[in-house]
Amino acid sequence: MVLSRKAGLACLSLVLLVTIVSSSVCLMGQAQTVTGFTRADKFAIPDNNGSISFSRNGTYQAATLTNGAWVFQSLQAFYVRSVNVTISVNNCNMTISSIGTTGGVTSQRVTISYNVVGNGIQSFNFGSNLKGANWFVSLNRNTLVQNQGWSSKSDGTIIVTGTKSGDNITATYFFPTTDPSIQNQSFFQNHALIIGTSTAAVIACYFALIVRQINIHKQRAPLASKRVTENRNGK
Amino acid sequence: MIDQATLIIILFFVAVAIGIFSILKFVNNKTKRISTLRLFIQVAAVFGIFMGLLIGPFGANPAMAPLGTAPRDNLLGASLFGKNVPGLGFSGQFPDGLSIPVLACYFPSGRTVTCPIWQLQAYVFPFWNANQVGYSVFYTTSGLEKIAIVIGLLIVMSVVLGRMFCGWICPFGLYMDAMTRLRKFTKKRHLNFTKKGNDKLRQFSYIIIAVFILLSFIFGSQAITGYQIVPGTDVGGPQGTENGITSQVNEPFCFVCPVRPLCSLAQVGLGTMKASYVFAIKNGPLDMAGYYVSSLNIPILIIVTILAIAYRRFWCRICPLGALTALFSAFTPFKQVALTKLQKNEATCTKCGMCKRVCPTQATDMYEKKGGDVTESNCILCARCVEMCPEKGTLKITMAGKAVASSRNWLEGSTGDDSD
Repeated sequence: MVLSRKAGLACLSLVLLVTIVSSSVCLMGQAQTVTGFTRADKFAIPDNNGSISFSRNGTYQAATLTNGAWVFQSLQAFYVRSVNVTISVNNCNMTISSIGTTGGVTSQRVTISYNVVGNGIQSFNFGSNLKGANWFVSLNRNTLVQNQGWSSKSDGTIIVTGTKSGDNITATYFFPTTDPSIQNQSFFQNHALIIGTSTAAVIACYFALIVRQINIHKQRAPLASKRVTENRNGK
Repeated sequence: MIDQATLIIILFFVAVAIGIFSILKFVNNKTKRISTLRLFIQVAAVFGIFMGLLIGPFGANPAMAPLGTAPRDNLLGASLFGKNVPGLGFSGQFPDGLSIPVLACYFPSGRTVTCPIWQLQAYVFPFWNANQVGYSVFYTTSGLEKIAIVIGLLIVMSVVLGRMFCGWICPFGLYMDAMTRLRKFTKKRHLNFTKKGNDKLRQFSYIIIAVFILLSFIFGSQAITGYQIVPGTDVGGPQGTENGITSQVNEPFCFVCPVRPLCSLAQVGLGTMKASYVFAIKNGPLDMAGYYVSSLNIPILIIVTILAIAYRRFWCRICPLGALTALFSAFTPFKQVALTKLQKNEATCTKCGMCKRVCPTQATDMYEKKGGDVTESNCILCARCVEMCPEKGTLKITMAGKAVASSRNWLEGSTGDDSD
């Protein structure tokens, strides 16, 4: 079907209109059941002479100041999954550049990354089960050894003490592999990707070889029939 | 109700489809239709490759869940290869994301694919070992296995599309084409290398990749062989994390790659990364400018930019990634099975030389060879020669034997633009 220029432009306009309207409806349809915050918002802790802010807009279901710490429920600003976390600062201001739960099953982790203004102490708690040796804390990309700059309390609170103004801290908790189905994976499952990639490469080359043979056959067929015709005419 | 992420992806593909349809339908100038289509696809590819950077992370769709902290912030699509698929595995096997043969650059946030050059170096060093943590992800596969996956992906894509990735998708190719258009504003003619010089540049690209893989091996020798070839390059720190890596030259090519500063500076310009973070973190003598931009990156970008203004598609002639792609598509045995080719019909060729003149990488086989498959390693399958060839059916791009673009006699009844 050949479109006239006008008909084509009309179709184009209609499609664009439909996509714009439907996207607006979809976006409006995502009802806000959470509270939003912006980069400009500061979660102050007056008693501790500090505040917390985020480098990106986000949302939370609840945020309460309790005992000198902000308790966030379903905090989401950087990653897919929201996170519940309690954060506190003392004599400093914290700007969080990354916080959340990420990764697949064997690489799942909780991470928080922030910059500090002021010489103070920061603490955060993602849950009582997240403590100890599976935390890795780095200061300006240099790993801090536990109890030399940071410590882990029995309730899962991580306290970072070795910072000064301008420092960047990243703390990551790596979940140990607990899913039995992962631990008992077969050789095939453990190496599924290399097996799949190799198979795809072989199939691609094999398919290409077949196509090549077909094309060669097609090129030779007219030549062969031409030769036959010439032979007949010659006779 | 579809989530925002899926909606954005759908809109993106709809827009691309509409654009392609519109160009094919409404661009009547035979000498500009393919070029216009190619420009559109290049721009769309930049949006696709850096979608998270340009329009923000859309984390609602679990399939696009971003992983860890920078440089993996908002690495979309990586979890597809890094998460567990019931019955199949995948988890931790290849968490750095899909590699396609374009300079997508590993370092900026929000990219959807990963540069294979980074992966090849990193999987030699520092992520040679299996079951270790590094750059905020956990690798369950050995470096050798990950390298094999990268090579496998490159083979599949090169056999299917060859260097079409260079001509139609690579973001740096778009940058160089932009430099060519800049030059055209000045009405200055481009410069050309001699044939010998051009051939030497092509050979140099293989030397580049060999040198940098070798350097990765040298600096990773402790992890690979247990013996340090260069003292002080042992993998240290907890579980071989990036913080424990004492060598400052992991991924050596990235220290000189011109694409990295372009991406990092674009990220700063768009406000998704602080300039201080880019420039303030110092990690050794070659990284004096910072983690994301070394002291060599920016001067090399400047030099390549100047040369790209003077010589069309200069970087493509020495690009190590292009060399790898050509290895798996333009050289025997892969040349025999490559699905995308430039074909010539010798019978209708009048030897006008237009193809040679308009080729941005100074490929000459389509002029000199006597018909059939005239794809060479320098050819980026941009189809400019096909577009400008004035003899109908003489040059064509074929995919699996079927012509997808064929030369037309544009001299009849339309104004051609034979500027390059």
